[in-house]
Amino acid sequence: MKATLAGVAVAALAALAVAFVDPYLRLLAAQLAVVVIAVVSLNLLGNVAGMLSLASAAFMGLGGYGALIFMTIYNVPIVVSVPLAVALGGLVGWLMGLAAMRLSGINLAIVTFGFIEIFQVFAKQGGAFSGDGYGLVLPPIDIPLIGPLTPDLTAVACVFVAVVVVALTRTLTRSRIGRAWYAMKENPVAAEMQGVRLLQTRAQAFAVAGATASLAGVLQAFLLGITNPNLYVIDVSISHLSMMVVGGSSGGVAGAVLGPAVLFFVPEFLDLGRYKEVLYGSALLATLAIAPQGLAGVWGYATRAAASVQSRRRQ
Amino acid sequence: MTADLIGALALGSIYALVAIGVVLVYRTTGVINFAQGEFLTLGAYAYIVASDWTSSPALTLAAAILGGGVAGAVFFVIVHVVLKGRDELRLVVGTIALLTLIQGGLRLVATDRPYSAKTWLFRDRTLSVGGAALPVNSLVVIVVLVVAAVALFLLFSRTTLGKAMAAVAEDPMRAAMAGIPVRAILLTSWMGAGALAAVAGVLVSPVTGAFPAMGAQLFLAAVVGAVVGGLDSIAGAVVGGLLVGVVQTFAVIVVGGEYRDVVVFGLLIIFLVVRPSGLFGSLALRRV
Repeated sequence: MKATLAGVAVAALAALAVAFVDPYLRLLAAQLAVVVIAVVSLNLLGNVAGMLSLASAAFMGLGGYGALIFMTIYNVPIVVSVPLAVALGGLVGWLMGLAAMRLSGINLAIVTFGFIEIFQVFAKQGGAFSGDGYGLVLPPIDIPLIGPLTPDLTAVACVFVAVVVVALTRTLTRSRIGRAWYAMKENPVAAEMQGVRLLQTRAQAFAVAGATASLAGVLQAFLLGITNPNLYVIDVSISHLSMMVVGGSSGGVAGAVLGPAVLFFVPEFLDLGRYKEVLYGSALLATLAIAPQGLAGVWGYATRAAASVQSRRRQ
Repeated sequence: MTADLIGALALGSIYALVAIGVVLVYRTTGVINFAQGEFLTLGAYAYIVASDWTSSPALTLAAAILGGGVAGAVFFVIVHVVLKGRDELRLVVGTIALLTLIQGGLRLVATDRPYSAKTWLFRDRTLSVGGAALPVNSLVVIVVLVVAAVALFLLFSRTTLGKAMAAVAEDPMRAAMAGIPVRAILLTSWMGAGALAAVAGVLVSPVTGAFPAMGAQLFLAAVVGAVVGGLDSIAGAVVGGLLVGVVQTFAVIVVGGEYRDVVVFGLLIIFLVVRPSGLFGSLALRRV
């Protein structure tokens, strides 16, 4: 609880800082925030629960389309449609975790790979629900007590939410639930003997990850003002995966922030957009080969080494 | 109807050729190679490049097989040497990295524009059987699958190499103790997987053209074929691939081409829920 409150305080400070930087940086920070949330979701599955998902982009699509469908077609107010869209992602994730019960966590990736193709069919053939294949447009929004939702306000909100999500995830991974996920990843049989019910735990992890990615999608749709089929393709999922692996894990959520920060800003500032795929692929392979625990793993190793040197000196 | 069925079986044969490779790799390494479709793509490009030099069907096919085989060897080196000892999740991610590298590399070199390819062996002739005009090319695809399936059956049932491959798939440690060169066997499996998909690339490129994402587009149907067949059975991959091709073709006639991936996904979910070990799976897929 204390950690979460601290997280909210940090989030408020980050949001405040972003509110005063120049608009270009603010937009970049907001986009990074969206990607961080998506990677946190993948990280929960991959580095915590030991499952591989290729559907993060499709879950973002569920969130983006979901929120805009509720708002524009059913005229549901924003304060209700956003939680609904997030819940939709959670529900679909839960079902996917159940449907794939007979596959090992890794081979489950086939189902998520199929799901992203299905989502493309919806985005292109969904009729009025998908803007006849061209995507949906964000309507003008008035937030109760605050007033009209401006792009700047959305950007600040993205950063705030991302920091809160990171803080909550940190708490979650250190809770009973997160420990069960780790146990399932490390040794499913041993975990089951400790009383972790594998099927439920796995569906639960998928539900949380689905809801988180969906939230990223909602924020992205608000930030860009549109949804578009091309935002939710497999390439986007693979870029999230690259960020997750390059960021890596030393048991915490640091990697889910480090990875996106590096892989998002490097192509952006060096103007390497054309070589993005090759760059991401190389970064992935290099990380797997040289530092399989990623940047966070290297950092964790370095800090532990430094600590042991210090303690030795004290003796 | 006959023409539809032949077309469905031809499509299924392409899936089956890719699915066999998925199974070959899965049996020996325990991971699903998400870049299996890229072998098909590379085979198609190799075929087109070779077609500029020679019009001999044997030489152009050999070029594609060589291309797929070399790609398979590179995958072997990356998965079993560079990434040796990594957990399954990281090995699968490694194949996804290779997928991204190959597709991104091809996009830089050859752009997204499809290259047209000439039909292998026969030009676009049709054959009249029982009053129905059948494209010879579709029949060639089916014949190639039958030849490959029979060859693999003989390989695994009659030859020492086949027995060694089965032993490595069963238990690499004990196979090594029995004096089987495990690495050479793994290399053979990967090269075989690459070559088979490359042949599929030669056969499919006249229809779709060659472009960077061509293999990735077929991969979902192929891997579902492998899962339907049991994921560790080569006969299963053949039957599963054909089944996906037939179900997809006839379902598409009813619901429309936009929904072909939905049909494939539906088949995957049905099998996972109703019969997770697939049609021919010898061992039940590891539960959870």
